[in-house]
Amino acid sequence: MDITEIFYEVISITALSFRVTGIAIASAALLAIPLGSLLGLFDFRGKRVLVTLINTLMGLPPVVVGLILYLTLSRSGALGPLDLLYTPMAMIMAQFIMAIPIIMGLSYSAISAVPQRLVERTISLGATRNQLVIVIIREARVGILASIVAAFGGAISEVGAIMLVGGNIRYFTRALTTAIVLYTNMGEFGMAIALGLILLSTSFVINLFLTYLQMKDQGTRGPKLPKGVD
Amino acid sequence: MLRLRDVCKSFGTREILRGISLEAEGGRISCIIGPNGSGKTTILRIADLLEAPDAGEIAFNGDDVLALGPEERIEYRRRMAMVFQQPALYDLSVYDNVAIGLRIRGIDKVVAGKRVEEALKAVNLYDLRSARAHSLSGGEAQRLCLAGAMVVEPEGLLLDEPTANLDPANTIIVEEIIREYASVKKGIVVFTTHNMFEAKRLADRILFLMEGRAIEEGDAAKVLNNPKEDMTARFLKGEMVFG
Repeated sequence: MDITEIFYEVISITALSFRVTGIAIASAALLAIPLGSLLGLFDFRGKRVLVTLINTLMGLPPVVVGLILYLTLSRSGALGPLDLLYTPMAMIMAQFIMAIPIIMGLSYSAISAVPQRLVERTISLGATRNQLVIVIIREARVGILASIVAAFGGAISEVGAIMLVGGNIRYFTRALTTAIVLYTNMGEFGMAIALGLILLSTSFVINLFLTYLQMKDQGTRGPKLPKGVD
Repeated sequence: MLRLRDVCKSFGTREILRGISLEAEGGRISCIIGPNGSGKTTILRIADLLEAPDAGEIAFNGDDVLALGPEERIEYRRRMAMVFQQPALYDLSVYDNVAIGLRIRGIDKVVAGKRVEEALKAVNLYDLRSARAHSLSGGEAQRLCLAGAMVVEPEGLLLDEPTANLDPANTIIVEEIIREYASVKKGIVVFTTHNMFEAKRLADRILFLMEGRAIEEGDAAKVLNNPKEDMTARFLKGEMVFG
């Protein structure tokens, strides 16, 4: 491979990784944040079971998601006719499925942590139901953003599921993580390390941006140990 | 006028309020005094429709508040303002914590801005308007909540131990704001306290409450200077009156 080809391939791999993860996380957030918020805002029968299920799914092994999605998208599977196996869309679907419980579970926790007395103060101020929901979600915004950061971090560094359903096809479904596995197996450690550094640095920049949004106008949160106390 | 009649409330098997009646009129300061756990806060919460009474009536300017529909209840709450004993602050700036009540009411931003600034100046928090509300001290937080209630220019003010977290200087500021609201704006004020000195300084009428029962009710000077009931007299003397 000459240098132009390597450059082109690296750009293609990096772009695909961030396009797939970006679309998966954005669409998962659109669905999971409202669902997690509803879960936090309302009590209903079976809520405890649902929360337990979501917490369990937060630790869903990616390779199992990949296997189930593979079987669903394969020719004999339920979604076989859509012909999505070994496409970027299949990779997006895998990451979307894995991100949903993470964003939903952490958004639910963030909403649940909003103090009841703040809810009551908002009601007392004469808020309508919709205004109350907006206030609560805004209060939980740091936790909700944290759920996106966590889901993004998990998805961009995931390899098992996208390998199974994407197939690691050059210039088409080869992502940073699957390429690292491939080049390591081929003994091309230089390329593998270079891609690893790209993955780390670009993830860092994106997380830096998300963390900036998270901490904007409020500094660092949480308990602090007093200074000068042994 | 805010009128509560024969209000009862229980939480499980525990009776919190046993037939409480209260009349609070504009321009006069009504005080609910009693020891901790006597049901003072619950009365305010019921008056603000945060709790539903098990029995009894609430009337505001002659209207049956408990019969109001969902939207009318919101309107009623917008005419009242409550300050909670534990300050509840939004994770926003000091300014935004005061402005939120006006935003909920859809008040024009420019008008709201002026009112917020005035309210912050009144409670001596104007210089901290850009600070995060969560960085305030307990006393500042309490004053911020009072500013948030005053800024909406309510017809009635429900204050749950409004000076409990304040030092003497801040207590004077808050008491002056309450007094002015009643005398100048002719607003209804109902406040709770277990501090008889504060009751003496502020109240026009007093309801003395003990274990959810109204022990004595009437003109503040009479109740405080010549209590009819032995229990009131003992409480005012600082004696233990439980049980």
